[in-house]
Amino acid sequence: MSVMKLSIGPQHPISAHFRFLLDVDGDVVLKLEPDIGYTHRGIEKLAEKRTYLQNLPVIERVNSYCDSAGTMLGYLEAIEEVMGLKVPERAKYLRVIAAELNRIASHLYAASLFSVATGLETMLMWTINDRELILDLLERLTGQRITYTYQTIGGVRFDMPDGFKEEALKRLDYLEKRTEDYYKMLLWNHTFQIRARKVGILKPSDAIKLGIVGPNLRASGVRADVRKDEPYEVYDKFDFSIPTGKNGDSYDRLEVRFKEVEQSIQILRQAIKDIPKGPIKKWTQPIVPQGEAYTRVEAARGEFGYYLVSDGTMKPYRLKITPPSFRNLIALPHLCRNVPLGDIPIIYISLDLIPMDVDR
Amino acid sequence: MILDIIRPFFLGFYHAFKRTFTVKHPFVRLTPTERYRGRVVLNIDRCISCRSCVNICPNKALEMVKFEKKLIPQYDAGRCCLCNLCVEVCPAIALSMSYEVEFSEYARKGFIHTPDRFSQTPKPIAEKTVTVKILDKKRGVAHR
Amino acid sequence: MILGLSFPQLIELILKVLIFPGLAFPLLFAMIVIWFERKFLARIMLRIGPLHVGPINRTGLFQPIADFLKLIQKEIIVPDNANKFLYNIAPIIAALVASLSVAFIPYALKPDGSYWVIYYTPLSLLVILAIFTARPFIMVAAGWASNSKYCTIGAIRAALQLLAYEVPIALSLASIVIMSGTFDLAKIVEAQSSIWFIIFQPIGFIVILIAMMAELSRRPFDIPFAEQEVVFGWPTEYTGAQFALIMVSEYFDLCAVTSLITVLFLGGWSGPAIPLLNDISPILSGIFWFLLKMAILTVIIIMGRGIYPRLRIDQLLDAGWSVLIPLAITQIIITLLTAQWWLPLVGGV
Repeated sequence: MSVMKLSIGPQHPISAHFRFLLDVDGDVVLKLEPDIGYTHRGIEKLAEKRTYLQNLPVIERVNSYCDSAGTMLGYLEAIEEVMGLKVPERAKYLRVIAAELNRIASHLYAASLFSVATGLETMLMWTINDRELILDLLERLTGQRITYTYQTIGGVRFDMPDGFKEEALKRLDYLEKRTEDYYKMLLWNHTFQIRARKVGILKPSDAIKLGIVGPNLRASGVRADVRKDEPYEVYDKFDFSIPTGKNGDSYDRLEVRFKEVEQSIQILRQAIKDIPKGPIKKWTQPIVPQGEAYTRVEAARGEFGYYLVSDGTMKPYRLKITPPSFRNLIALPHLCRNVPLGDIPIIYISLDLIPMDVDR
Repeated sequence: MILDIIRPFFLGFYHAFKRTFTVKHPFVRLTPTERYRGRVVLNIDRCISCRSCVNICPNKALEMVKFEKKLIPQYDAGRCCLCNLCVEVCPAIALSMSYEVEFSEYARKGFIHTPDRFSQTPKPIAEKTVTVKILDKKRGVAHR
Repeated sequence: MILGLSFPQLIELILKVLIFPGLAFPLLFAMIVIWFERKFLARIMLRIGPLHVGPINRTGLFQPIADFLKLIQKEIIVPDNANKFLYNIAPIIAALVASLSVAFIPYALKPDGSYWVIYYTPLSLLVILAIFTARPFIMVAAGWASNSKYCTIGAIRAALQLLAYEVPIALSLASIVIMSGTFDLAKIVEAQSSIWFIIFQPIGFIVILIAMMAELSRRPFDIPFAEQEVVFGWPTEYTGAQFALIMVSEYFDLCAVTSLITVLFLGGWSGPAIPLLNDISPILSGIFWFLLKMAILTVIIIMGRGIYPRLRIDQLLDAGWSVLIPLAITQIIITLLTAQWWLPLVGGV
């Protein structure tokens, strides 16, 4: 049979804002080519025209609806490294609380997208319902549900309100018990296992060679996490472990995310208990001296890299962002060779690529 | 393996009799917290025309205009990204946040809030407001 | 005497053909089941479902009627290069074939010994099996007549799936025929007057339930309809009233399938007599038990949509050929080997 060219366009229920060009022969996909650029906003150029403080809303919209608190940490760390600024302890704990809550919300969202790709709409609704609890907590803390602008240069903007600690601990207890339901309905569901096991296997040597980051790398068995390798903020004071998967298939990529939710709940409990008293912000003029810095943080999807070059004025000279979805995108053509056509949505969604991240 | 096939059946059936999570939105709304960052509201008497808010806005949503022998900022709701840096930086504490976030208009020029609209105190929200609460220990989350 | 029938028999025939189980019953069944499916699945997902359209506040009972009326108003588009005759006639034949099998199933026992069925024939099981076998051809005709690459591929996949699951159905019907000794549906129900066949043949019941879910294209076997993930399915070129007919014919099929499984495995109309209904007419309590069993089966088949993900096409065919057929053959062998235990318990033969 001749080779048919298929285009899954940018407006499609599966692909969000990507475009794929497939070469299909019968039922088998021979080659896949991604076509990116539909959501490019020029964030790096926009960041050069605004001062450091005005850049806060811009940078957090690199990945706005999933993981904005984790994104901001890298930018602020780069500035603080060039300036030599020391952030108060309480502010560091509050930054970590916001980032970890955001990580749980992002993983629940990824699980809901995965279940829709396989056809189980029930899990979409349940996980988004429980994500409401986390967004409500974040609204009490910062004032907004998805784009926070909470962390600034030198600390955070608001302090914890009254009643936050007890409410947060109650909700975290509930979430821990609720993940059992998710296991029973989605992960241990026999039809789901038929569909997702042994699909899109990524070997560890291939993953390291291609430069994959985040939970995708950990699902292949490689134990790599920026929070443990180069601890930033106060992550060296917490006691948590890094879950890894065994085979590197799509099922493992989802299971690693659920286990990371459990680890985040542990980190949050320790942070809420041990938070010291003190100031939350160091009042300072954001005048950054000449210099350059490169920092890495671990967001929900992987490792963000920020490279900042400043020349002593109020605006950055060059800010380069390397998002995790951009690094993970190279796995998609590598995995989609000689697979049946029905596997393409599963592989794509299990890699958890966000088009806004890729294009910036 | 048989258990894995049968178990979702009972779980789904159990959930069919729990309280629903969705509410009838325009008549019932979520309770906004005290810190909720919505539309900016100006208190004209306290403004000292120092232009700090105009300088710090990332999207140039504020602009000074003349109003009754005073120079006060004019707010462009189409450009505001609700970061509320202007509220934080104002030395006279003339700006504050409200809970309104519905900015839809029919024409683009309706986005620019003239001073009388900019300083209007927000209307009271709907009669019934709900928040997310945990109903029972294991499986219930609902709006109450 | 018209058509060789006396006057009361003519009235009864008109009642049967027009109301129950004739024209009105599958339509009413389709409307109620569509509403129930949307509400019940919504509750499983912790949502509300249809809410506003309808007489009782906050239940949305008339939502299917509103959808049907909206679809009738839309323009019917026929593609230029399509085979116009086949394209236009395929939805009508789909709806007809789906509800044709209702004409042969007996729904109640009349007090004078005959049965409440539109057309009585001693070979009704064979006729129904033949009607079920004709369904894939309509899909292929509709898909081919649309003259589009994706439609043809989708139609061929749908036909493959339906053909693969015909065989387990025929095998489980074979074990029922062995146990009751006749092809007549009414006599099969009478054979279950002491014990229902599901207790003797649980494996056969599970096999036919799963195979019927695949025949109706319900989740987890709904590749033909939900192929919109990657490639379009076979009814994609249809709009307006033709689309409404195709969607409704799926529910006519559901009516026929649940009636068939009730007659074969769950004992049809047998059950203790209800005193209130018996006063009006002795048939009514039989019809009540029949409808109750149909309702239970409908709930089970509908819930599959909210619980299981979709299977891939080759996994589907794999399950049909290598899992269900051995199970059905095992059931036949068990039925044959244990004949001495169930032969005295089967009544009426």
